[in-house]
Amino acid sequence: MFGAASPRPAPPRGKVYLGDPDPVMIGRPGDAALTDQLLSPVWTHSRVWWLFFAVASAGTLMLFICMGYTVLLGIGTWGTTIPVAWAYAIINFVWWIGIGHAGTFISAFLLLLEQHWRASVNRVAEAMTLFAVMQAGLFPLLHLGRPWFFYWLAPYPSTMRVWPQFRSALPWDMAAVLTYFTVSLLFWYVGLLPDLASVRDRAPGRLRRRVYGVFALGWRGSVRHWSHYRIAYGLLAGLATPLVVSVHSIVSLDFAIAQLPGWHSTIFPPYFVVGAIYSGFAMVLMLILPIRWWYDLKNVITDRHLDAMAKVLLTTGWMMAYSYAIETFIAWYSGREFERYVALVSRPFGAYAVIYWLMLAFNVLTPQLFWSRRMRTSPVALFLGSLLIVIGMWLERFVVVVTALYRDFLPSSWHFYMPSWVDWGILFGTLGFFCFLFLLFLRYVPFIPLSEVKELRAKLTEE
Amino acid sequence: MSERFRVLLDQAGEFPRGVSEPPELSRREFLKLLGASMALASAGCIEKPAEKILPYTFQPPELLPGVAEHYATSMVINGYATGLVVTSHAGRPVKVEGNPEHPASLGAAGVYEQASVLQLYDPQRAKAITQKSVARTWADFALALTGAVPAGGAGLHVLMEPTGSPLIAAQIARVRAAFPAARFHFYAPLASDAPLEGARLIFGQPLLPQYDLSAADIIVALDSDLLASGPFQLRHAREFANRRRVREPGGAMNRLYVAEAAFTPTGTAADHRLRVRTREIGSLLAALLAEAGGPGASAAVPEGWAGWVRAAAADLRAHAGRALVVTGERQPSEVHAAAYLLNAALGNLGRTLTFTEPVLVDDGVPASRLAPLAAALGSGQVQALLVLGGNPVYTAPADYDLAGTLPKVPFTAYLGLHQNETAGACQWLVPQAHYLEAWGDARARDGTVSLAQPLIAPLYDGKTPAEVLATLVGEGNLSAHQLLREEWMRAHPGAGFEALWEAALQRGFLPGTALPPVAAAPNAAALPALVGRLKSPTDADGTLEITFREDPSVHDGTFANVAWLQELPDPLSKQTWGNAALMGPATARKLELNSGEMVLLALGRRAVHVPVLVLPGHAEDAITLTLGYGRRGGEEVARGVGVNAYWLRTSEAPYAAGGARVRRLTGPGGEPLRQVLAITQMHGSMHERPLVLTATREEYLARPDFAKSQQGRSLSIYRPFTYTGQQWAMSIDLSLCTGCSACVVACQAENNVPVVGREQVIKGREMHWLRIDRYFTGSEDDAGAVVQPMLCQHCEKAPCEYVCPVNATVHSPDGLNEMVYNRCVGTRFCSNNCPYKVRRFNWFDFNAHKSETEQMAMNPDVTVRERGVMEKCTYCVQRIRRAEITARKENRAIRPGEVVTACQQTCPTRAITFGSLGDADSEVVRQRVEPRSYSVLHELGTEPRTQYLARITNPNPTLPVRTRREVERGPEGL
Amino acid sequence: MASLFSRSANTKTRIALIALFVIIVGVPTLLMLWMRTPYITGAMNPITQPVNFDHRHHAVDDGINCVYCHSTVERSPYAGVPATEVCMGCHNQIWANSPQLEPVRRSYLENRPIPWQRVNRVPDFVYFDHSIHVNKGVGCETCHGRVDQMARVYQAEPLTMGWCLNCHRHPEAYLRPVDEVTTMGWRPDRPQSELRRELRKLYNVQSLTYCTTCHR
Repeated sequence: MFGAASPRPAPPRGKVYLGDPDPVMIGRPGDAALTDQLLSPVWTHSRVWWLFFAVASAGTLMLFICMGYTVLLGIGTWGTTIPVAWAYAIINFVWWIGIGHAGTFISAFLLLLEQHWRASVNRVAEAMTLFAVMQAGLFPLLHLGRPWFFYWLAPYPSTMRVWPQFRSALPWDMAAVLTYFTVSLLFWYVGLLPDLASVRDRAPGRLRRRVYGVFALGWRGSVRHWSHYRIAYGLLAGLATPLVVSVHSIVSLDFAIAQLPGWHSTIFPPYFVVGAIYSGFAMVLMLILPIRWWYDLKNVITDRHLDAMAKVLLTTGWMMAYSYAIETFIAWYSGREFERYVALVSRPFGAYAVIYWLMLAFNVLTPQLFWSRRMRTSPVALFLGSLLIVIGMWLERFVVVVTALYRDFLPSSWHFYMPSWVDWGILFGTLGFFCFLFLLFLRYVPFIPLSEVKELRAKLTEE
Repeated sequence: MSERFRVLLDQAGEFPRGVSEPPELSRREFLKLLGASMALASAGCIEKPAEKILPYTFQPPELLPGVAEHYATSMVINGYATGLVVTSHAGRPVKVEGNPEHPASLGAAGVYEQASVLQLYDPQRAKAITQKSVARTWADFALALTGAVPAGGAGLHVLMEPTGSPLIAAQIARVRAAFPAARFHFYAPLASDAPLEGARLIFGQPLLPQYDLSAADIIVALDSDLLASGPFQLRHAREFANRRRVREPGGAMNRLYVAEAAFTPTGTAADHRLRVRTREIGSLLAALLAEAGGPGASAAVPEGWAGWVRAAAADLRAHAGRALVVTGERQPSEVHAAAYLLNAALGNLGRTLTFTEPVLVDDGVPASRLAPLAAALGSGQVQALLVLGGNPVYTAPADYDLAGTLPKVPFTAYLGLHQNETAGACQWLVPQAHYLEAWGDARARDGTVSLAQPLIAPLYDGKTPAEVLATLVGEGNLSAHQLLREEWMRAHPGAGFEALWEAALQRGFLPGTALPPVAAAPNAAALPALVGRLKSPTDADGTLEITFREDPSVHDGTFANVAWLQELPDPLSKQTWGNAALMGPATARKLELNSGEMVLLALGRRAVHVPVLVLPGHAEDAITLTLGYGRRGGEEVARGVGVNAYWLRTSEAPYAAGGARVRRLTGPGGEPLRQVLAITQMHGSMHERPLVLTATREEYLARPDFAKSQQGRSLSIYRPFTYTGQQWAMSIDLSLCTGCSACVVACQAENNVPVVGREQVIKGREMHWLRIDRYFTGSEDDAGAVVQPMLCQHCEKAPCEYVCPVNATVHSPDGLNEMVYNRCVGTRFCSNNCPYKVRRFNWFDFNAHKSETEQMAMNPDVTVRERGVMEKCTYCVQRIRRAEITARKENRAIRPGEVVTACQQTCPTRAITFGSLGDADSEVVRQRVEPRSYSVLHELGTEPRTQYLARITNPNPTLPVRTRREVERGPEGL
Repeated sequence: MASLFSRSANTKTRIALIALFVIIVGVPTLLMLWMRTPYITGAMNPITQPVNFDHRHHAVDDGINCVYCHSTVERSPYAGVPATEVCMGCHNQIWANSPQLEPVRRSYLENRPIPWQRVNRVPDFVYFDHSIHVNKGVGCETCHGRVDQMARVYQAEPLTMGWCLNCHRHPEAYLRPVDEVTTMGWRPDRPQSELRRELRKLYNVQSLTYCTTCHR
């Protein structure tokens, strides 16, 4: 379905290939050319977009129906039970938050590391982060028995003179997610300013220009603007970078502070963060590839980008493999029969064994594809690989949450878990809602950072 | 997944409804219900609509708003009374407890007695007098009745439940005087004549056996669940436990041998349990007689039994005079007779076993049984039939076909609690007064005259049998109260009557009215003849024996409409909301059946569709089916739940029959039809985890520290919590717990624990704060069982507390793990982190569908929980705080034993002890220093305030015993 | 080309941004304040009763002690609203024909309770016990205010959990001799601080703030 990779010089024979002969930009188009190319999606209509948009809207509708049903009747409508009192809600929450990570990682981390190739993909990644975190944010609210009291998790002087319980991970969790969302939003918006301005100047029709004008906050691209902009953007990047690590570490504490076999483990924070970046990059690829193909952006999103991201997948994939190994080893090494039972019996051979083995196959075997350079630059391979990884990471969260709960300490209370139709409805509903938002983003916002690409081109020409 | 099964179940015609809560229902009513449940929660204020205060216009002097009263009364099951003390709030009886002074209770109460309060408030009770479902008045009925009675009473038949009531007895005499030809019949499906008839065989007269377990070192129970069923179960359990409480290593214990088909609580408590089919008990007894040297008896001991029989016999001989052989009511009369003779031969008569005159009216009089009535009905001689209580059309042997013959009778009237099967077959229906609404008297198993006084005015203007009988002799204008007082005056003439009456009202019974033992010499010469009749029947190949048994939850069906009991797990199978064909593992393998598969169970020309439930420890080639389900009457909770075993039960084989056949039911595609059984415990063995610690008496003596690995403080990084005041703690003695489940119902009643219904139980959402874990031990084909009451352990280092984001579960200075419903937002993190999984969550608004009357059963001292909040055992904190307030008003400390939790209060064996670690001389402290006191999952360092006393058994040294390892491994694949 | 925005746009934007900030900070603050107003707590709102009963008259002019009518306050969790017979105890003699008392007489004759309106209401999950409070020297007026000055009784205090905790954390500040419990406008004859320390010791008053003190 995707165009073949553009021709590139073969690696010099006879010596070990050290990577990146590929350019981060093909050709050196002029500013005008770039602007035309990159802004065109903002005012080109397309039937296909409407088609996708209709599907996504349907999914969104389903989400809100299922949510209403849940709030009206209670979460008894889900499959959760005692002992498996957490399931899809928490699985989906962790999964979406994880996906969100790649955005900040690309835009902040790589900015500070001065990785040129981030320039053309960072905005898509950031948008993905925002929308993913929005999906994730639904679940902590929804899974409460009495969601209308969610604000009791926040520290504020109530007439009850009662405060949240700070030994629990959940209030911190709420804080972390909110912070993460706010910073990501600001970061994304600030980065957007110059491009909004160019849309404002290029947009046909006064109304649209005024609208974009309002959001451009009167950006004129003066030197003063640019210098302030640089400082703000740098600062935000600095703020966002630690969040990449902190958010998912805290999320992982939702499990690690419990003393449940399979949860009670010190490796959870790094394990979760890596997993997050892993799934996040996979998701970015799944979004970038179709865009690149559909809007024909091979010149700004080159094989270099694909190659780089594939390498990230390979690396994080191995980190995951290592985490799985260590988790199992420690469970055995601990000598505690309960830990051993979960890690060595109920996970690999229990009722959910299939899910466990699929998880390993998807998350550990799939990235091995990307040892091969051809695979790293083949859009089809990358897309399918990423798909498997994203699914695999969802399965991992299922394994973490459910298999630890359904057979814990007293065999008398063991009970299997079976999701209800509402569980499925909400999971796919969030997918729909995510696409819904992302399609709007593609349609109304310049999703390739114009200014940064131009800047990059300038740099490259100097070199 | 349960959706898929519903279809199949409909095909199988056995889809139970119960009070299951399909979301559709709740959606429609959700908002209203939320409001309702909040209003219900208004326990704190006067029980009236929240915004108004309606004071009395004339305040009853004895009544103090907000302070509960207690009244003594008694409840009758199968004719025998159990003394009770009922707690009443503002005129609403809400909690039934045992009467400590009453011989049949000793303070304990069984599941039926406790749940009866919900039966009182049952919204589906019969509410009006009707004739062919046309509303009538009491006067109409009296007129019609007197008009319908033939002169001299020829053709007048009265069918009653068995009763020992002196009042009824006197009235019957009066009716007979007025209508000499009138016939009285007494029937309860589970009341057997065999014990009396057995006595007749060897004493020449029907006598009632009375057991005294307190004097027995060795107890041999043959197909007898004497610790958990029958009229004196509570007393038996207490006497048994008192001889089994091990104070220190090597302490004296009695020894219990049990031979039975289906696992019962008594079997669980046994030191040696033998799996025997019900109809083989006879030959087992013969073997026992031979071994124990019964006079002139001899029989070959079958191989499988040899060890058990020899050991039991040896023990019986060694403890002659201090032993007891008990046979179950299911057994035929000759088995009872033989057992009496064995006891006599051992010199137990007058010690552990005495005989009294029959306690019940006309007991042991063949003419007053059901059979003659059935005959009369068949031959159309019955002119007028009065059915007073019970539900004979449903419970009578199937071959009597009352449903067919009753409608042919010119005049039929039914006095009953419900619009049930019998009501459907009779012309007149008169609402019966529930015993909590009624004046009356009765006799306990030992003859003690007990008084029943009403706690509340009849909700639906119900009548008592006494009032109906009174109309026959033209006293229809007298109330039950007047009738009772007049009768008692006649019985106790003289000036002292008022004093006696008052005393009786206060105590609930007349002391010293127990029947004296009858000194009768058994005719030992009858033995050889008897033994000749004690032969095991031989069943044709491929056929099974089927045993009909009292259901531990709904009894004989009387309590089928009580949701608490429907949802009460069977002590062994843990099944709720229905019954199943219980069979042993080997039998199931032979028939290639698994639990949950539907079979066609045929006996003679009758058959039912029933799910199979494989129960380790069940006798092979045998099936047990409990009675009381498959109701088709007007009771909504009961209707359609389970399978009606009465359909297979005939007069010639009321308890056990051979020749049952089983055929698997398959769907259109040939796949086996299945039914999801609502079972509360999915996994049956301990998986080699040290949860229920066990040791034999010898082992305990040899290694008193065998529980060490589960004892002592453990290290913690947390700052120690500062405790002040009383330090509440609980101790549960696993040697005494039989798993009878009385505590489960007590907890449910005391703490407003909701019922969730079959569908939710299947999803694993039952709400019991206190559950009884049952673990099978040993191998699948020779399984024992241990039980462990599991409730909030009130950990000092509670894993639930530090994970709650809103401080909804916290610690109190007196050592309680508090659960604050109104603060809970329902993250359920606490449940995930609770290693004992004793926390329960309100997945829906489970209190939504409560009728007005059911709401009256709520305990106003306990918050009714809203949808979406977590709940759990609180150590009955409402009782603790109430006691504290009283004590502090009197400026004194709480006395030891002043606070009693609901479960502790009702436990028949006193296995549960509660108190403060503060008072050094309290029982709970004494138990915690016992070397066998341990905490479950000790290695987690949760420091539970609830500790268990390891289970000590007293096996016969000559028999093989299960090692602790075998106990903890349990059967494969469970 | 004409400029997109007028000169005022800058100002508008600035105002908008400031407004945004104010809203984000202000709305929660206002909500928290609002929750503390009588409008929410229900305090300070005189309630019309089916009988035009005036506490001023009975408590002051006639000098009837609170406990005469609210007779169960020392023994029961509930202070108790008097039965009609209590009213009629006096009013079959005094004002026996007053139209004011018509509802009372009707209630008495028809044996139908008088539907009083609840004034002081704690949430359903709160188990407040009057008896322990009055037995430990917490005066009626401490929670119910100067009922002797109320024409129509109103809830004098917010009755929020925070308000309860004020006392439960420092009970001594609110104690008085038990025989002064029903006294309205009681003033200690000695320095309050020392008297109250004394009382706290005397009545062994504890500061109970764990949850099951009130929530069960």
